[in-house]
Amino acid sequence: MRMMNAALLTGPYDWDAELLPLPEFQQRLAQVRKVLAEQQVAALLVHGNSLEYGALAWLTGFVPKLGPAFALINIEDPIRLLISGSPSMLPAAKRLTWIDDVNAVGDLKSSLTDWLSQLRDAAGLSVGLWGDPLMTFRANLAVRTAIQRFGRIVELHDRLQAVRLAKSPRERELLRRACAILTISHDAFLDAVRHGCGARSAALAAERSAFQAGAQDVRILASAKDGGAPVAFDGAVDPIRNPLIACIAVRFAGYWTEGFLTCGTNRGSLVRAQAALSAMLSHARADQTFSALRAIGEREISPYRANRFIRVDELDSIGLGLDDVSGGGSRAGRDLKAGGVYTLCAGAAGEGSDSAIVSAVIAVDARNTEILWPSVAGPSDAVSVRESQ
Amino acid sequence: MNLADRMHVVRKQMAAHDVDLLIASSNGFHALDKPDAVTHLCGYRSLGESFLLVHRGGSVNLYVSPAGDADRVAAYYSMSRWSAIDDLGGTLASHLSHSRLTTVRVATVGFDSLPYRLAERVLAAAGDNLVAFDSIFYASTAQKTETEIQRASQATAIAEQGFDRLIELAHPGMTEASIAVQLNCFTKSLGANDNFLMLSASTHNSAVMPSSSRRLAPGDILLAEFSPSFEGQFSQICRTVSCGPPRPELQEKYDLVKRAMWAGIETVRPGIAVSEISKAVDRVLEAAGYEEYCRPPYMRRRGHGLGCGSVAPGDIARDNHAILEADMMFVVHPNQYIPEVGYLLCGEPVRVTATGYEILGEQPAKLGTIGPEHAGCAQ
Repeated sequence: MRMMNAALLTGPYDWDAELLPLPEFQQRLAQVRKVLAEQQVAALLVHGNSLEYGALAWLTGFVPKLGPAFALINIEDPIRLLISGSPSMLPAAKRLTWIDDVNAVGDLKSSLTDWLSQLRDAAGLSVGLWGDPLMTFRANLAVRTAIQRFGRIVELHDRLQAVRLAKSPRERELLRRACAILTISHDAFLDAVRHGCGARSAALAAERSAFQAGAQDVRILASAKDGGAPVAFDGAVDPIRNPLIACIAVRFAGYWTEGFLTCGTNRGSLVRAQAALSAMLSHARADQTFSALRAIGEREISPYRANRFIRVDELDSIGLGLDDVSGGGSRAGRDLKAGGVYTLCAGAAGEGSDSAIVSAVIAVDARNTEILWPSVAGPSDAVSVRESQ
Repeated sequence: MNLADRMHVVRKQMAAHDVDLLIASSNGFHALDKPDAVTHLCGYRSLGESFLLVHRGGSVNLYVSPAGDADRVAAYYSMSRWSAIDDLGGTLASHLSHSRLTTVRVATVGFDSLPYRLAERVLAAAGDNLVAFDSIFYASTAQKTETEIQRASQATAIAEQGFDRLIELAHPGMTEASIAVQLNCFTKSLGANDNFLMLSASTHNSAVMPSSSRRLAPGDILLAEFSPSFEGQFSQICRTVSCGPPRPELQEKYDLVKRAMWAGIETVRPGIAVSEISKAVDRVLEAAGYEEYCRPPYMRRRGHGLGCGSVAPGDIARDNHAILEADMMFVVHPNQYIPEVGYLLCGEPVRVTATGYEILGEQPAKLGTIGPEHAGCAQ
C-alpha cells in the first residue's frame, strides 16, 4: 500500500554493520558493475529522494531525509554520494552509509558535470540512470543537461531493479525480523481495538509497540468508514469503525514489510477473505503467475465480491516501494520468482459494510515457499503450506 | 480569508493574465517549507500525486492518486467534483486531450516538483500555450486562512508540549533517534498528523541535523526544531537544551541569540520587506562581534514560511524583498553558530497582524536544562 509520506524520518537509520555488513554491499556493487559492463555503460547515476529511495539505499545504505541524493558509480572508482542539505549537516549524513565520499550536492548540474569530466574518456560516455522514475521534473532536467554534454543516457532502471528482486539470505533474515515486529504491532492494534479504542488510538498503540521492538519506521492506514479500505488519517478524530480494516507497514534495518488486518463483527466477508488467502498461499510457488493466484482467490471469495485488494505484489522492501508508489500498472502478466518476497492480499466485500482484507508475506524459493507473515492465523499455516508442496 | 476567498483571488489572477485553465499539482510530499498547490487551494493533502484543474469561469476538478484514496477524499474533504485513480497521468492526459486546449492558455503550478514522467505526460497533453504560474499564484495568495491560523496555533501548542516532554524524558545515554521517535509518538497523541522534528546533540554543534544513533552525554547541547503539523498546517518552535547545568558562557550566548530573535520579531508589521527582519536579527549579532557568522557558510536564513500549502513569504533572508501582509505566518529563528559554544537554536512562529505581529506560542524560547539527576541513566 502506498503510505502517507512523513515530513522527516526520525527513526534509527545509521548504518549498522552488524545487520548489513560491508561485504553485503560490496557484493551488490559487483552485481551492478557486472550489468554496467554487459550494457557497455561507463558510469551510473543512482537517484533517490525521501519518497522513493529503494535503489539508492540498496546500494549505499543511505536514506535521503532532506531532499534528493545521488550515488555516482563507475567501473573502478569508489562510489561518491551527493546529498541534499548544507555541508554542516554532513556528519549526520555520513552515519547513514558505508560510503566514505559523501558531499553536499550544491548545484546538481555543476556537481554532475564535475564528476563526469573527471572520468576517463569523458567524451562519448554512456551514462546509466537508476531510480529515476520518481526524480522530480527539475532534477531530471539538471541531470539530463549535465549528462548530454558528455554522451548519451541509458535507461537502466528496469534492468537493475531486477537485480535486487532476489533477496540474499541476510536480507531474508532482516525481513523475518521486520515481520516479527509487524506481528507485535498488529497485536497491539488488535488489543487496543478490543479495549474500545478508536482507529487512531489503535494505530498509535501499534506504532509505539513497533518502535519499542526496534522498528525504524511505522506507517498505518485504517478505514475511514465502516468496512472501508484503509486510508491515511486526517485530523485528530478517533473514529470507532466496524469492521475496521487496517494496513500496517513496518521498516526494520532498511526493510519494509506490511500486513492487513480486519477486526470487528465477524461477518461472512472475513471468512471468505481468509479462505481466499489460504487458497492463494497453497498455490504460491515459483513461476506461478499473479493472475492465476488472483483467479484462485476470486473463486474462493464467491459469492462475495472480490474487492480491489485481492492481488499479489512484489515486496520491493527498500524505500517506500510498497505496492503502487512507482505508478501502479498491471501486474497480471508477472509471475512469482525464486528468491523474491511477495505480499498476497485477499479482500472480500458483501452487503453494506461487510468487508474484509487479510494478507500474508511470502518468500519464494525454487522448491519451497516460506510464509514470513500471516494474518490468517498462527504459524501452523506456514507448516501446512510447506507440507503441501 | 477562507479557501473560497483564496480561489476567488486565483481566478482574478487567471483573468488578469488571460489564463483559461490552471493546473495545480502536488507530489504527495507534505513538507514544512515546500509549497503544495493542491493543498493550498482545496485543503486536500494527497497520498500520491494529485492535480486540481481550475477553469477560469467555472468548474474545479480534483484528480487524486491512488484510487484507494477515494474513501479518504469522501470522508474528510468537501469537494464536489473529484476522481481517485491509479493512472493519474493517463487519465489527465486523456481529459486534457479531449478539452481542445489548442486555443486556450494553460497555467501550471508545482510541476517542477512532480515526478518528471508524470509532468512530461501532462504537459504534452496541455497544449502549446503554457505558462508557469507559480510566482503569481503564491504571491497573490500569501495570507493564511482563519482555519490555517487556528491550526497553526494548535500545532504550536503541541510543539510546546513536546518541548516540555523532551525535558521530562531526555537523559544521557538515550540516542537522539530514540528521543525523536518518542516525541513524535507523543505529539501524534496530542493530535499532530506529522512532525518535521530535527533533533541532534553535540558538545559543539555545527548545525541541527536529523537524529542519529548518537547517545546523549553530559555536557552536550541538544538542539530541537519542533515542527508538528495539525490537520496539515505546520508550525515550528526552535529550542536549545543543556545536558546538565549550562556553562555561564552558554547562557550568555543563548541570551544574545534570543535578543536577536526578538529584535527580528519586533520589526514585523504589514508593509515592511522580509529582509528587514533578517537585518534586525543580524544587527544584534554583528554588534556583539559575530558579523562573519551572519553570512554563508554559517548562515543562510533567519526563518521561513510555514506550509504545507503556501510557504509565503519564503525565507527570512536579506535577499527576500517580499512585502509582509496581514495574516502571513512564518517562524523567526536566528539559529546562529557562535564559535565559543557552537550552533544555538531559538525560534518562534509569528503571524502578521493588521498593525504588527502576534506570537503563536505561549511559552517563549528559553534555554532548557536536563537536570543532573538524570546523569548516568541510560536506555
